[in-house]
Amino acid sequence: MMLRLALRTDSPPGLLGRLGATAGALLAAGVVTLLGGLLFMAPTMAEIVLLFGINAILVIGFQVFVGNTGIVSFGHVAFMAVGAYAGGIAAMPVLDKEITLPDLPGPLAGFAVGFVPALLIGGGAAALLALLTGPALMRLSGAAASIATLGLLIIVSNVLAQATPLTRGPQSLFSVPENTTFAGVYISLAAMVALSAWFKWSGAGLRARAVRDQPAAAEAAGVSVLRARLWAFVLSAFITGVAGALYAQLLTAFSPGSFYIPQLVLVVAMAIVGGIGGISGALLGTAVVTVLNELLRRVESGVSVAGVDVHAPSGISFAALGVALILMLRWRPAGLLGAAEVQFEARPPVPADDGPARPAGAVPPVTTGRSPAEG
Amino acid sequence: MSAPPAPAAAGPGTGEPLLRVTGAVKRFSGLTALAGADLTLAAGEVLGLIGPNGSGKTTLVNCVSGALRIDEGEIRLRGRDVTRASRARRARSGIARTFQNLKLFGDLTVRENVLVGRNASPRGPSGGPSRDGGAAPAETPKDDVEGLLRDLRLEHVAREIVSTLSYGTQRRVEIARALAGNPRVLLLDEPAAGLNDGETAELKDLIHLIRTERGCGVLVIDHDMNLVLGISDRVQVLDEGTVIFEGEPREAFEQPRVVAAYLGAQ
Repeated sequence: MMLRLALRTDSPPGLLGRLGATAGALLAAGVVTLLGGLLFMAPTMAEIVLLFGINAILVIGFQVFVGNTGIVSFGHVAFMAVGAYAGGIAAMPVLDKEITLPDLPGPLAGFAVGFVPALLIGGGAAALLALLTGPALMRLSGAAASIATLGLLIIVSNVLAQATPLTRGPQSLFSVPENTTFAGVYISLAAMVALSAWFKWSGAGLRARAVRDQPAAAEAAGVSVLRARLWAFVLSAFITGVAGALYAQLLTAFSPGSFYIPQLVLVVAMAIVGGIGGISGALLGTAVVTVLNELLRRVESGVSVAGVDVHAPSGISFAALGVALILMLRWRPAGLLGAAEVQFEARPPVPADDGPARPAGAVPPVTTGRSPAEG
Repeated sequence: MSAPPAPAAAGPGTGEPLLRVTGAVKRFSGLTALAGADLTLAAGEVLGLIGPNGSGKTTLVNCVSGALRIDEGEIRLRGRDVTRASRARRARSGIARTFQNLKLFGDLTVRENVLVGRNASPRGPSGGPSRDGGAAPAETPKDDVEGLLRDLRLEHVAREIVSTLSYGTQRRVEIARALAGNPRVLLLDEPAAGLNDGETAELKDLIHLIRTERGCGVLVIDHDMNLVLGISDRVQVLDEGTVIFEGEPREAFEQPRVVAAYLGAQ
């Protein structure tokens, strides 16, 4: 028996396999954390490193739903917004609430919670919204489902902008305590990575992926299409809501406009670049897009390369993101990693004569020929 | 072929046949696909359902599996009315099927495909109570899946993504998935389509084995008459949505109505 690291798309058999796959995903998160920790030493990089960790959680939340159900959601930023407002208001000290939100209903005005409960409240509020809207949304498939989730985002954004006693309406909500730390973000990331890996390889995750591939056949095997999708939707909303609550306690001030189309485009781009089917891909995609974005933003504000001053027109970073997205969809539609996951395998190497020859330890093809558009 | 059991033999422990469809009517806007079709299937019986193209064979299978609802008539499984039950519900009460055009979970592995099939079994993933009077031996679910993979010669491809495999292998995966739920009724919609002679012979043996070892009632639709007439205890011939013959396989093509339906002659 030996332990080896593999990049595979299939389900690890048994409990040990699930543990190995979860540990593999955690290792990927650990590598990201280590790199983040090194960069965090530089004061100018601190906020970028924290935002990166939060975006990674967002993309993982997004992929838990999109990867397992094949439905492209344009509504996940709504769960981020709900998580940010719920977590932010819950964490706000009572005295600050009296000033910023004087019309807050009594039960909400009289309490303030710490960092971790605020994250759970943010995630829980988003999961509740998913549980309430899911039974209607999850009956839809394909493009209809995607457009309906976009509808959810528009509705939530408008409700937040109008619910002035709760949110200060379209104005910025401020005075959220700045509780988000490096440890807070990256411990949350590890927890969310473990949660989503465990789900992916669980019975519920398997049923969701079966419905994704062949809804009719899944039903003929006794799987409820609605229930299989709903669990993935609720879990992904929870993870996204936690990211929202982290975001709120990092920025301390935000408005409904912070959670709209630009944020949506960023999340979708990160997921597509990494590969929509997998957790390892979500981490990689977030890293690539963040680095690309930061580099271009520096070029925008002017850098000197080999003595020559380079000054790019502003807005170039967002345009470059669009170009990256188009190139990706054209040349590698399944993303950098596709549905493959980093996994630990506690198995003896497969002998060469056993089954279709695939040398032990070899990396299998990471794409499965499905484009994200097909889901 | 072994001696066929009496037509409409009683299911275990009840006076009813395993599956009984009475007076099934299904209309698609202007077209009547089923015009009062009847069907009975006993445990351990192989029933061949034949008829010309468009005679309503697949529609009848779709109505039994729950993919379609019948407009009139009644479907009973072991005496219980399942006419209005959902597709997933029927699967869990013991009706499994394969599809004319393969419908596998293409991005999942062979083992995962079979694992999903286990959902239909009440003692499946959730480990619920055993189905009373079930013909299959009570194995632990895990053994069940590994045993099925072995029986269907899928062990060596268990970790392969199913869409990368050959057509014949994919057909076997679909049957394994259907069997994983320990069904009482197995509906095979053109199981030999796209198979070569060797694979068809293998399929014959497999159907025989499913009937004898699992005690399933098996309903087979296929255009390969050698296959259908060779493995069936009994055949039903459908034409324009009604049953025009029911009885011994070798007698079917001695009936003028059956010949007329196939050849279009009077």
